[in-house]
Amino acid sequence: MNAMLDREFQTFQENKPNLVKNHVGKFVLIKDDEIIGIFENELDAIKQGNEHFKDSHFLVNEIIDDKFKIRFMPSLVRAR
Amino acid sequence: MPTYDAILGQDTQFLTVPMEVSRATHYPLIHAPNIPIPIRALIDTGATHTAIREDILLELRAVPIGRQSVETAAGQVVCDQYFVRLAFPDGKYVDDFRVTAIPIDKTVDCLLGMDILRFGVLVYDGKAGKFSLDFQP
Repeated sequence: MNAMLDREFQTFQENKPNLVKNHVGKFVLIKDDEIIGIFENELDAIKQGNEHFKDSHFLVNEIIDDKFKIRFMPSLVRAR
Repeated sequence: MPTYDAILGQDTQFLTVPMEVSRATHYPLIHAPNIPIPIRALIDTGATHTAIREDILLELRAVPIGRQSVETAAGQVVCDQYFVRLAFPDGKYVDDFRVTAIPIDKTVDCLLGMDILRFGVLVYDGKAGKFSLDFQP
């Protein structure tokens, strides 16, 4: 994993219960420890991120309820 | 409709498509040349999302856009996600498409998940060892 998003992912995890409660299915834009905005689709979130942060990284995650997890089931996938 | 040969395995067949992956249009950040990398994508109806081996994404010099917990047969793992452009042999492609960087065996480069497959027509002829996969607008 790339350490670049460590801080943003921590912010996402800390705020996840509230994000899931209020914005499930939408996309969150996070820079460092700040939630910049909530968006209906990910391209809008990325465009906003590109405008605000130019050549710097940011995180855009879908706000997923745990019961709709991303799943990869084949045995080809290893645990880290 | 593009047709492909299934690859014979022990008591099974693998449905794989030769594709190319490159960095996406809307989250490049890196200004280096964006040279597509040939990959072999395994059709995987058991995957909710499309995944690519992490070392391939690093070779592309792509920058991660997200990170999520994902569930695998081996347990829960946290993985980075990237925006990419995926091109099929017939010239069709998806751009600004989110893929997950997961630890896959080196025998396969990419798992083509239901987030792409649900937009296409997949026909599998097991007896002939062939399949076709097509996407119409």
